[in-house]
Amino acid sequence: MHSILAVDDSASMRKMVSFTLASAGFKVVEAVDGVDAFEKAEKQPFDLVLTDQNMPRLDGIGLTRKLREHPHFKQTPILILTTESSDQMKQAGRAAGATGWLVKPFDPARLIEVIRKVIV
Amino acid sequence: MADAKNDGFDLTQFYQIFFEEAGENLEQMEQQLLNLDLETVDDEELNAIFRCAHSIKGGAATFGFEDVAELTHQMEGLLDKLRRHELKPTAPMVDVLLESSDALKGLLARHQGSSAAVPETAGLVQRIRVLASGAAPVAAAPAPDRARAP
Repeated sequence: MHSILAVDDSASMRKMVSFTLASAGFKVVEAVDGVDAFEKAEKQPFDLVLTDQNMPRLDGIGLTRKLREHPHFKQTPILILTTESSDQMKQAGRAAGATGWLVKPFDPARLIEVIRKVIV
Repeated sequence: MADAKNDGFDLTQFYQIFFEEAGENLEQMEQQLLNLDLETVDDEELNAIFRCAHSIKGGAATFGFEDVAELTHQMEGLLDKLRRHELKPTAPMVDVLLESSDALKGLLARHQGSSAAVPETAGLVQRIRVLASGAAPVAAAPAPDRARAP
């Protein structure tokens, strides 16, 4: 079973993303922000990281940058799921090493489809 | 009215978490706005207020509460300009954000079924747009009596 690290400071969004992914058969570990996510990522590898962008302490782009420096996450797909849709932000996400950029509100079926395409 | 189904996913199971979270974000935003000193406001204060509006907007858009999403979207736009230093924070901005926070409480109460009143938001949206454009503020409706920190 593929494991996904789902990161969002919003409890309702986190639960909804978690529920969507679990319904599709993925094992999900939740994190409340980038710092929490990085701590969890240091303890175990994941097949994919799905993260919000705007979060306290460490945002999604900052988390992506940190994960790309970690030997276990150099190739792991990292998707940023956010309401931010400016080209400038997307470019910053790509520069940090993000695999893709998904915009909220999201369509659960589309989210699963994208994840199945990029997951190793 | 929120669309409770999304491709077979029943979103209503997340509503309560969203309402609680939105209430907490509004409380935080209100306190931070009331404590704001316009002369010494720093980036972290503005970022924290922005994140509250941003979080409510994301949830509201996802769960189909369009009126909440629209008002928070406008608030977020103004707050984004403030945190990027494209605009300087002013008392009318703080006032309209506080009034918007009150209106959001009313909208959320209505969605939860605890109030039938429909808060007026069109005027707030218009005032926020004008302030975010950098133009002089339009005349505000009488604001609720609030004690703001110096």
